[in-house]
Amino acid sequence: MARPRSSWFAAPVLVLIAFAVPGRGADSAGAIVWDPARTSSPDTVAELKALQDKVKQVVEKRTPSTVGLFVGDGSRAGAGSGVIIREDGLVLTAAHVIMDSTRGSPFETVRVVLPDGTTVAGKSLGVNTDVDSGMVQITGKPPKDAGWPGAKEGKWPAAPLGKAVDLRKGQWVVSLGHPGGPKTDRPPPVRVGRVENVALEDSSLQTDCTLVGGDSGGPLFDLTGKVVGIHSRIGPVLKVNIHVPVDSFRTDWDRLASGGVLGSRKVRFLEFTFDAAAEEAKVGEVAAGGLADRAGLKAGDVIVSCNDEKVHTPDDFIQVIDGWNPKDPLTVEVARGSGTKKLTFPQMKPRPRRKS
Amino acid sequence: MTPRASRLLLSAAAVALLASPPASAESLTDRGKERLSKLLRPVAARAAESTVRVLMDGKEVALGTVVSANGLILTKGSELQGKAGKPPGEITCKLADGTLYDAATLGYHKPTDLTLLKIDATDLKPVTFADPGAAAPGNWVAAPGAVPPGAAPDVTPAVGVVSTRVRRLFRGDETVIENANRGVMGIRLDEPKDGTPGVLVYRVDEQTPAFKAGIKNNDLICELAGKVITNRIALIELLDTYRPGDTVTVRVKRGDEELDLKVRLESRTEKDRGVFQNSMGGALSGRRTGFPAVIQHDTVVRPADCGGPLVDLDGRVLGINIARAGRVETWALPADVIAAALKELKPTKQTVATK
Repeated sequence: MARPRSSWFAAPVLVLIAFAVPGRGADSAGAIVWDPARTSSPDTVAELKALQDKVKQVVEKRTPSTVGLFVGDGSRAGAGSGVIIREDGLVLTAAHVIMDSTRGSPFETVRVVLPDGTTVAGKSLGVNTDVDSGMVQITGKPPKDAGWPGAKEGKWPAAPLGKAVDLRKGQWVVSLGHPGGPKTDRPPPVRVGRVENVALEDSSLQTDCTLVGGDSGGPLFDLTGKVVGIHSRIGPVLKVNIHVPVDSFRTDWDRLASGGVLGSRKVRFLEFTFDAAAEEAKVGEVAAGGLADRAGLKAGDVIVSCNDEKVHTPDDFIQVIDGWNPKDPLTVEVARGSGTKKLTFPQMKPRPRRKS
Repeated sequence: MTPRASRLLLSAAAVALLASPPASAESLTDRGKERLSKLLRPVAARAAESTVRVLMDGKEVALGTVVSANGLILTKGSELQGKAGKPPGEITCKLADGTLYDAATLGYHKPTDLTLLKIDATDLKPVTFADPGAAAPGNWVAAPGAVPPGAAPDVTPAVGVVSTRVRRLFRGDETVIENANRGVMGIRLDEPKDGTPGVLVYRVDEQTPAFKAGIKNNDLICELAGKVITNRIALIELLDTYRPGDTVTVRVKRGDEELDLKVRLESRTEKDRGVFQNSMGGALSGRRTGFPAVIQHDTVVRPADCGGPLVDLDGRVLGINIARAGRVETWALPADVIAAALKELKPTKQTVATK
């Protein structure tokens, strides 16, 4: 995995934390410092101020890296958010921001807008539609007189990556993005919230930082200013806001960076996985009680055809599934032991799909 | 205008997607909000003394901000309008100490949606507004008198952070939607070319309330709820006072016939994804566009809790909450905009303290 180069995050702040009393930090001047790992609510107004200071530091340092993204044109035009995470202009965003659903692949070009108004072209790299992650590469160079450090040397303002696995319920986080779409003269609005749930096995992270259309692809920061999530979707109540953990990007890093279109919603929705070590379409795990289980699919089965189309690899299967309407029946033929079996998936009601 | 698709996925089943224990009724963050409220109560105490509850016909419709010792109060005017075509009801104000006063309406300022009320009191505590520059993104803010949705009535002030500095919005090209929540009939309107009074139904969309009621293309709407309608503006202004779910009788002229058709109004949220997403998580104010300048913050303020002051950790009054504008945003009017409105509402020498 390509390691993101470390950015120019201010060392003095890190030193401050190192000297702090654990839990109730105090800097050398005696003022209280909020511990970014703290999971409880402030107990005093002084702690509230300390938390506010941390939030404002993150906002000031990370706003320049928070971008608006524009894709497509005419009736297919869309807008969302992203975050620059490398000085050469690598941007993390959400898959559904850059996916052209009419073609099943990302839009080739993306227009990237920085908070100071700088507009530059980018190209889509890869996506994982299962987890909703996406990458964009800025293809232009920054204006020499741009306001961020390193602009003269051709560097973009980059935010460092953190780890969602280190987050704990109750931990305070900051969200930036472009609710309602990027707007001229409006820097990305700040939302503050707390971690509600981390479910890395589901590639999701829930906080109560409120999000709405346009925020997708934007960054969620911990209080050290590291990107821990990318905004993805919302639920019907205010406290359900779901972000893609940055850890998911790490898992898929090389494939995303080389433009891979990963993920198949429908396979996931059929509730089984393929054995990643096999070249053929060999079933890895079958979720107990799920659709594949009820159809009789078993771990180790090798799928040889699906709806009468020959299948040699997982990609073949995914291609057939992509063209299949969940309202139609689904039959698969599997090689098991010395013979073959024909299995029919039970009539199903599609789970609400992530809509763009 | 931003591109059609502001992309954020909807997951109505998002809670089901999470491999976590079921969300309990009171989450960690709910309790956290109660604790924050408690912490900020002393900070917001002074502004709370300048906050009143505004009632119309005994029903809580808004908060109000005291701007002079002798009884001048600003509130969110559009919440005081008559509903369903009726005239506005009796307005009363309940002070922080519980005393109830009758209120007279002195004037309405449409660009800011502020109404100036007068009560017969002489020793009220007015607010002192802070400079608009005081609002910095990331700063904690509190709305005294506002209760987070679903919380107990004593959980106040509502708490959030400033999301943007003052934004100058109104460049003359933004449509003021008076009641974005109003019920719609689902017809495209036009005016007769020959000057006939009434509104022409240019097109009825399928499966809309108008369609179901039997309104047809080229019908001429001449009355709504018993009131004569002469033009489009009159129709929209009257419709603005109705809500989704209300039934109105529409009289149309069709050829030689006159027909009275009952239309059950619906909300327009389904038609517009952005509007739909903004409605995921609580009601929004009816009038929530077309302000000259706003401070945006993420405090969840119910529409009926708009009209009160917004304070920061230093107790400075940053402005008056004027609209719950979206899922992520509540808007407050900054001091300079309020001062300009007050000048127009009360041109005589009534001083309001501004720093």
